[in-house]
Amino acid sequence: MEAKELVALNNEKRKRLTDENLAYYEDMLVYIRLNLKGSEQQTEEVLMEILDHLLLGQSEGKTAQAIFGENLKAYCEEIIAEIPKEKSRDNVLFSVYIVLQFLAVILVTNGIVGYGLYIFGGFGSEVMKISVGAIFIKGLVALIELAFYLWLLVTVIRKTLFSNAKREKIYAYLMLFLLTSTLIGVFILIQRIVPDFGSIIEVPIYTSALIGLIFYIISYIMNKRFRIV
Amino acid sequence: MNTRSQLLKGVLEGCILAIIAQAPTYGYELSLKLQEFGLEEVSEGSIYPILLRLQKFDLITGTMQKSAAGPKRKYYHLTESGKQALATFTDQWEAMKGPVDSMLQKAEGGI
Repeated sequence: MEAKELVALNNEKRKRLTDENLAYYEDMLVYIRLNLKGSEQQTEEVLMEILDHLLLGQSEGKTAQAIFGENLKAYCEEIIAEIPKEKSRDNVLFSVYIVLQFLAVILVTNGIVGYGLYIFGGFGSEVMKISVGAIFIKGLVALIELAFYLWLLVTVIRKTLFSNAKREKIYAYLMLFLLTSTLIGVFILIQRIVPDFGSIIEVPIYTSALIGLIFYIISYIMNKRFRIV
Repeated sequence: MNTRSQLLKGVLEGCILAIIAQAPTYGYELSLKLQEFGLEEVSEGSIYPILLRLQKFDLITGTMQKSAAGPKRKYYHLTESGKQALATFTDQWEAMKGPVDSMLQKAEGGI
């Protein structure tokens, strides 16, 4: 069975857990899946085995703590340590997919909003002046920010998932909020301060949406072909 | 019981290989068999990191098969290198069992 089918089956089967066991199991699931370096296939197979075990144990009146121990985080770490690494081909495909989707959203939004504002509100201009040098720098910064942001999200969730201390969770999410705001600020600042350099090309503003759409279609075909997400 | 102790881990690996050698087994069944043999102190979940490790070293392979109860389960089989590893474990255990027992008995006698 492929990883995607296992995920779907897992979603179905999980509904049979009691509330208490479901909360316990979903913490495990999130923590183990957040180990992005691990083979997806092996990750989903072991998650399914653990779920099956918990369901059978539940029918015999055993609690999740009795089966997996009191220290859930340590148990998950043991599992993660033994999951083989994902093939680098799959990692590259996944990264390219994420980047294409990210760029598609930005470009389509930019194109539609820009064109809409011009047509209906008379704001801005119908043509977009693109500085080849500046757009390269801006795009690069945006991608670095995206990578950093994803890393930040994963780290915060991993750090706080098993913590019962409310204060620690509130602190972590407050930090996340501040860092998110800062990142958005930096993003806007960079878009404004990077000077134009290199050759300038002029295209209608809706071109942005068209290019975004092409990126989206490429990512869609990639996903159909390689079953990435 | 702290299942992270290296001794227990190694012994459990050998026991799991021995059980899978008798018949293809899935996770829950395996934990029941370990308990039947008297390893009741081992928490049930501790078999899964070990199963992953045995697969990583290609000592066992898992295939999804229909179980007697109906739903598909991941059944583990021993590979050729798994059989060799089990033979090695058995030899080492046999060689150590006597000496360790008598040493521990002597030590107890001295207390």
